[in-house]
Amino acid sequence: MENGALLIAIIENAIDGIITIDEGGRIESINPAACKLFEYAPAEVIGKNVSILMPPPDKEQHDEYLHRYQQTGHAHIIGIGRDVVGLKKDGTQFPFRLGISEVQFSGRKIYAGFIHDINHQREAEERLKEHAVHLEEQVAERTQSLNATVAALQIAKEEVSLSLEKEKELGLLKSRFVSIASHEFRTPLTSVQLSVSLIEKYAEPFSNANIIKHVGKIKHAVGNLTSILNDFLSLEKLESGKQEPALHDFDLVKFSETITEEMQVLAKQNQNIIYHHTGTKSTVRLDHNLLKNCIINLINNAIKYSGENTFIGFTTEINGRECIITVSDNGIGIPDADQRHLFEAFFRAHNTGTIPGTGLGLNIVARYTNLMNGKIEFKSEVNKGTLFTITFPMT
Amino acid sequence: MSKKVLIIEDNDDIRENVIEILELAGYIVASASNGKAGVELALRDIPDVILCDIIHAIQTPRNHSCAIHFFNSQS
Repeated sequence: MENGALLIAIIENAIDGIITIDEGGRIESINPAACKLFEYAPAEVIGKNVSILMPPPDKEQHDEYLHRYQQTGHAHIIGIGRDVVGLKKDGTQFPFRLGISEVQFSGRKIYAGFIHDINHQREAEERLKEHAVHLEEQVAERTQSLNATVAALQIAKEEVSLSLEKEKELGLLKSRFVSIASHEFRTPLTSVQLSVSLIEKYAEPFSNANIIKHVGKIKHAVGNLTSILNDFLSLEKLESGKQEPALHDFDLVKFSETITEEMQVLAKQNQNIIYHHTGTKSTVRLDHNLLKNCIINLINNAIKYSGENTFIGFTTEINGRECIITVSDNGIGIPDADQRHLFEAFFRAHNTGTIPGTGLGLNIVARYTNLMNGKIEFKSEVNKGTLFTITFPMT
Repeated sequence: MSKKVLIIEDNDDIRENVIEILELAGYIVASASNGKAGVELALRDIPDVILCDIIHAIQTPRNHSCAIHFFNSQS
C-alpha cells in the first residue's frame, strides 16, 4: 500500500505530464503537470476521448490510430515516442514530446502517455537558429563590405599604377624635350657666337666704342645661354642614367693649374684665385671631365657670389687615404634655412637676389661627385663666405 | 706655306662662319656639308686638319676604306 502511495506521489509531482487512457481512448487519469500544460481541470477531461487534447488532423484520426495498432500491433508512437502538437483548452497549440507505453493492468490494457513540454527547448532552438541566421547575415554583410574594400583598393591600385605609368611617360617626354631643345638651341647659338667673332674682327680697329660694348654683351649672353643648356644636358644625361664615369690616371696639379688660369680670366676686378696643393703625390684616378665640371662650377659660384677685390681659395691635397679638393670664398654665404636644400635641382638660396643661375650647378656637382664615389660637404656663414670640400677615397 | 683645313658641317651658317674665320686667319679652307663628300675631298687633297661634326663622322659609310680616323672630342 505504501508503494501505491509513493507511485501516486511521484505521478502527482512529476514535471512531465502523465495521462492514461483505456483501450477505447478515453482518459482515465491526468496528473497536475498535464493539467497545467493543457489548462484543463481533471474533471473536465476524465472520461472524455483523449482526442480533445489534439488539433486536427490527429483529432479526427486518433481513434483510427488506436484501432489500427490494436489490429496490426504495428506501433507508430507506442514504445518509440515522437514530437507532436497538443491543443490547449483555449485553442492554442503547443509542441511536446510524447512517449506512450502500453501497460497491462488488472487484466486489461491501458496506455500511459508521458508529455514532455519542449516549448522552451524549441524556443531556445529557434533563438539559436535565429542567432545563427543573424550571424550568417552579419558575416555576409562583413564579407560584402570587405569585398567592397578590396575592390576599392584594387581600383586605387590600378589608378596609382596608371598615374605612375603616366608619370614615367611624362618623364620620358620631358627628358626627350630637354635633350632635343638643348641640342637645337645650341646650333643657332654657335652660329651667333661665330658671327659675333667675325663682326668683332671686321670692325677692328673700333671707330665706335659702342661696337665693342655690344659685341661683348652678345658674347656674354651667348655664353650664359650655352652654360644653361650644358647644365640641362648634363642633368638629362644624369637623369636617364646615361652618365657613366670614365676613370683615368691624370696629374691633379697640372689639371688644377690649367683650371685656375681659365677661371682667372672670368673673375671680377681684382678677384684672385689662389691655388695650392698639399702632398708629394699628384696623380689621381678620376673622371677628368666630370671633375673639371665640378671644380669649374664651384669656382664659378665663388666668382658669382663674392665681390671685387677678394680672394678665392682653391686647394688640392693627396694623402695616403684621400684626395681632398676645396674651393672657398668670402662671399654672401648660404642662409642656414637653405643649407639642407642646397644640392636639390633648381634650388637657389634666398639671398642670391638678381645674380643669375638655374639652381642646377650644385645638383650636378653633387651627382658627379657621387658617380666618382666621392662626397661633397660645405660650411657657410651669411656674409662671411662659403667653403666647399670634395673628398675622394684613394684606392 | 698656308695650312690646309677641311671642314665638314651640315649647318650652312656655322660652316660658312667657320670658313670665314679660318680664312681671315690665313688658312686654306675646303668644306663639305656631309660626311661622304667630306671623305672624298679629304682623299683628293689631303688636308693638314679636318674639323668635323661628330654626328657626320658616325654617318660616314663604313665601306669607305680610307685612312681617316675620327676622334671623339671626349677621348
